[in-house]
This record gives sequence, structure tokens and C-alpha cells, in this order.
Amino acid sequence: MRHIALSLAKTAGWISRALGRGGGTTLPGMILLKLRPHTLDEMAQELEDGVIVISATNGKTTTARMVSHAAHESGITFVSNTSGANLPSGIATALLRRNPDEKLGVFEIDEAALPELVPKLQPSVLVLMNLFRDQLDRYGELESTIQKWEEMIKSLPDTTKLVINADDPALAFLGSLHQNVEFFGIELTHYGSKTIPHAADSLHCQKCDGPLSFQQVTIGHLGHWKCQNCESQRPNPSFAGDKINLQGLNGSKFIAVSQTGPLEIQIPLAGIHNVYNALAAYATCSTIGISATNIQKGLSTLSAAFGRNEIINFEGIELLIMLAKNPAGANQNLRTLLLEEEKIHLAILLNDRTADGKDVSWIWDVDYEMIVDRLASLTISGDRAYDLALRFHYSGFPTASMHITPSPQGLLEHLKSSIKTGEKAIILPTYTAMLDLRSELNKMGATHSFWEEQ
Amino acid sequence: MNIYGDRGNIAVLQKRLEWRGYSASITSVGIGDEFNPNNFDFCYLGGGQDRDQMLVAHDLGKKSAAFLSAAKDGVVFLWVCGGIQLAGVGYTNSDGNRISGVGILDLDTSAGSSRLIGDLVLDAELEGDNCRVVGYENHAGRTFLGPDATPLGSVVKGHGNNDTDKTEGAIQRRVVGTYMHGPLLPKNPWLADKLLSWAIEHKTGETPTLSSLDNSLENLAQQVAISRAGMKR
Repeated sequence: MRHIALSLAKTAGWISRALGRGGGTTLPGMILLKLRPHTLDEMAQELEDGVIVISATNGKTTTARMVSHAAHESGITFVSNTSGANLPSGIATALLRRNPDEKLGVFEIDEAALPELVPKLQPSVLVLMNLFRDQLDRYGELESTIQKWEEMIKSLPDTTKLVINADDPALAFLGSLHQNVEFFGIELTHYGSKTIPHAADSLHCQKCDGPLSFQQVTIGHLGHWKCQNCESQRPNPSFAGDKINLQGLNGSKFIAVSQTGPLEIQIPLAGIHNVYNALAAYATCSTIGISATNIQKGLSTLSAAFGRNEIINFEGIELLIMLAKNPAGANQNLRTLLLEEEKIHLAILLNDRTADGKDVSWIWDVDYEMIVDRLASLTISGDRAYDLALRFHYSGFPTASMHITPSPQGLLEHLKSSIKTGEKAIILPTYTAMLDLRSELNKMGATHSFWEEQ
Repeated sequence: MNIYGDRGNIAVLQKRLEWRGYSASITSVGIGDEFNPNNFDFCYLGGGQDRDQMLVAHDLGKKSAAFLSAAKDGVVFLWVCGGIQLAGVGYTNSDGNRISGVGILDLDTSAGSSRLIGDLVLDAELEGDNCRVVGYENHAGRTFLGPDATPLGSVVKGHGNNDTDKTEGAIQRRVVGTYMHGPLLPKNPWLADKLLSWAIEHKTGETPTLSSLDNSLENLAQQVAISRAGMKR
């Protein structure tokens, strides 16, 4: 019975790709799970080197890719769902496709799906990086996600190692509920700020409900926090990021300090959010015994994941695509852009399909005002382009200077005709807009299909 | 409480005043802050996560009398999502516990077993003037209006106050409560201007004639949102 179920499911994937309907990264899994619901538990158990699970609002795909790349440097064969299909069907599809010699599982998992999948996958390492307000219409509220994660952690066996971001107050609290835990975090840095941004959530102590004070914030509510009412405070990270040097849009450098001493890490990805991702990856790889040299090498030779700081050459123009799907991520992208000295050609695509979140009100919590004076041009696109145009209209940006073109083809045509060869354009799409854009670029021969990568 | 892009509503009100040559002073008020609603022309409250709303309800309850007198005096209120619940008589949560509201709107809310989520399109009516209004809802509460409150509009698409009587929102005098966010005002300039003229009237004692602004972007955005909601124009 199992053999038949697996065959049917595998065929579905092949058919899906043959019909050109996307990468077949979730359909086989969906079918398999319908035919044989315990399949996930069984397939995961076959992985002799265990399963690493990574979850967060932002950074899952990049961190999973970093871990996979370091594992690869180390000669470890692994199975992963690197194409970003991070719901149960995506995990099942990845496991279905696994080669028998792949012994380690590295999976990024959606925050809402995590509590359901953890008992099935029984990870040896569970990495929790951040929880920001995201896709409210899917998750209801941040607090309920935290509660569900709390129940999940209370049922974890002691053998599961938790790798947790000390800078996230809610996650640090969850880490305190489990014996087997490592913390990572960023030390005091001049890139941090003393003021909490408008879009920040999670500003009360998970233990006593008291107000939190911050010595430093880096992104949203992440930083050096302390409860004003009880003794809760940021735990000392065993993997700390220090002496950070953000090199514009080209990359980042920092020292990772751990029990084994300091290690210089250079990554080709921009922005302090990628320093967090690299720290999480470093902590995870150390936990499973990958050597410092291989971690360093893996991180420095990494290419950007699909749509996460991805650079595509299009008709002589360099397109830098940075996924932006919630206020914390979007603000972080904008702050990263501010590291550039030249004026920026910016294109933003806003969709409201299920995977993007149908409620687009989040764009009003993004501080677009910070880049309004730094723009060489602004192109607005996507199914909800006019909502975005309104957002900029009410920020005082002149309507006459906006170029509005809802379709991705229109966007690319406009960039082609308005930007000089050799120049750079930054594109901030939501998730499905990124997929549409990628598909258009693929048709024009500028890049390969996303399921063909690595 | 800062969860659904409320900043957008404030930005729209402020800019639409400025573009007409008015100036606005905006005071942000937090839990425990001293303030008297009677000293303002417009009072805005957005929604929040459940636990934040509990804390706010407790704090606002202490000022109930001041809110009632401000409402009577024609101060404009726009209380959205959790705000419409707090404006009412009270809220009964899923455990059966009761939280008192401020009482500026004749309505009552109880927690439902599911959340009502999705695009929301209304035929709204204010002082005999009507217009289509579009937004988005996400609430577990089921709100029922009493005899003294009129709905903001009738639901053309979506759930509305309680998913049974096709009403959305509530108005009493110049107090407006609604579950619509999006945020509400950017795509609904008619409503924004209506509220602004009420606020100016409270300030000056006279009904203003607001100069018309170019709403083409707003109207386009509204049209797109209505058709995304699955409706033909």
C-alpha cells in the first residue's frame, strides 16, 4: 500500500512540472498525505542523521539554505525543502523525492504549521528565530501563535535541542521552558537604535505581562530587552554576533563569538537581518558537529535564495529582489537600502493572494517615508498597486512621479525602457508577486525556474 | 493599539485637512494618560490583540462619563474593530466573562466561535448621503445594535456586525463604530471628508464647505478592491 501511495504521489509531481504548473513542490506531498497520513512520521524516521527544523516569521528560507550549504561543504548529504514550500505538503514532497543516501533533513517550516509538524518530524534540532506580526488573516494574532508554540515546546523531549534568538523576548521566554537550549543574539552595535519602531509588537513580558525596556533594538522588537517588573531579561547568547560591519548591498561581515572562540564570518547577503540568519545557521551547524572552517566556507560562498537578496541580470540591468511581506521585513529591507549612497530605482509589487495575506493594511505600518527622498524613481506594481500608490500619496510623494503598472510584465518593460545598462533596480515584491516576476523573467530568458536551483 | 495600520487613517485625516489649508494637532494617548475627550474635535481608536483590548477597556471605562458628554456635544468618534466593541454597552468573551464598554454606542458584543474574516463592501449612509465603502474585516465578536444606533451601512459583500442581519458598523450622533479596516479611510475619501466636516463643525460651530480634492487614485484603489472582493463594479 505504501509503495502505491508513493508512486502515485511521485507521478503527480512529474505531471505537475510537465504541465508547466509550477515546480510540483507541493502537489505530490498533498496527495501522499491524503492517501497515507502517517507517511510523514515514517519518512522522517528513516533519516539516520536526524531532522533540523527552522521556523520564524522572517528568515527561514535563507537560514535553511545557509545550514544546507555548510552541511554540503562538510560532505553531509541532506534532503531539504529549499524552494520555500514550507507547509506539510511541501515537507512531504521533499521527503518523497529524497535519495536513499540523504541522511539529514533540513526543513524550513511555516510558523502556523510548526506545532502540527514537530511531533511528526521529531527534530533533533529546532531553530526558532523570530515572531513578527504577519498575515493576520491567516494566523489571527501573534499571541495565539506564541501560545501554540509554548504548548509545543512543553511537549518536546529533552533530546531535542532548541536554538533560539535571545533578542526576541517571546522566544527567549519559550527557551526558558526547555532544558536543552542554545541562544544566539547580536551584541551592542552602532547599527542598533534606542527607539522602538512604530511597527514593533511583543513589548510586554511573557512571564509577568509587565512592560519591557530596551537598551538597544535592531529589528522590530528584537534587541537587548529587560522586564521592568520581574527578573526576566535577555539571556546571554552562547553564539553572539559582534563587531558587525554592514557593507551596503554587497554583504556583511561580523565576528561570531562562541565557546570555541571568535570566528570571522563574511556573507554575501546584505542587512542586519542576514547577520541574525547567519548566527542561527552557525549555532545550528555547531550543534550538529560541523567544523568552523566548513561553516565559514559554506556561509561565504552562499548564493542568495530565490527572491531573498537575489540578483538577476535583466537586459543589462542588475535587479536585486528582496522579498517583503510584513512590516518588520519591509522596514528592514528599506533600512538596508539606506546603506547605499546612490539614489535608488525602486519597484514595489503588492499582491493580496492567499500566500501574501489578503489583508494589505500592513503597508501602512511600513516606514516608506525613510526612503522617499532617496529615490531616483518609483514604480508601483501588483494586484493592489493602487493601495500602494495611496500609501505613497499620503506620505507626500508626488503622484506625478509615481509610475503605476499593475502587471509584472508591465513592470519589467518599464524598467527596461527607463533604466540605463549597468544600473541597479531594487525590487520589493510580496510572495506571489515574486513568483510571478520570476516566471516572467524566466520567460524572457533572464533566469532559471526556481525548482531547478541547487 | 497599533495592529491594523491605524496610522493610515490618521495620515489620511491629517493630509486631507492640510491639503485644504487647515492644520491639525494630533495627540497620541496611552493607557493611564490624563486627557479629556471634550477638549478634542475628533477621537480615534483602533483595534488590537485581545489582551491589549482588555487593558484599554479597563482604562477607558474610568472616563466613561467624559466620553458620553463629548459624544453629546458633537465630538466626532471613529472607533474601529476592537474600538466598536469598546464603544458599546459591553463585551461578553468566550468564557462568559463580561467587560463593560464606554456606552457611546447602543450595541452589545459577544465572542463568536469563529472569526469573520474577509473583504467587506457596504452601501453606507450618513445623513441621507450614501456611498459604497470598501474594507476588510477580521473579528470574532458578534455585535448587535440596539434601537438608538443606526448601522453605518448594509453589507453587500462580507459578514458585517454579526453575519446575520446584514448590518455593518453603527452610528449615533457623530459617533461612528465599524469593523472595517484596510485601513478604512484611504480608499473611502467620501467617508473621510464626511468625518472631517463634522470635526470642523465641532470646532467652528459652522458646517464647512470642503474644497474638493482629486480623488482619482482613491477611487481607482476602491474600484480594484471592490472587484478583488469578487464583485463587478
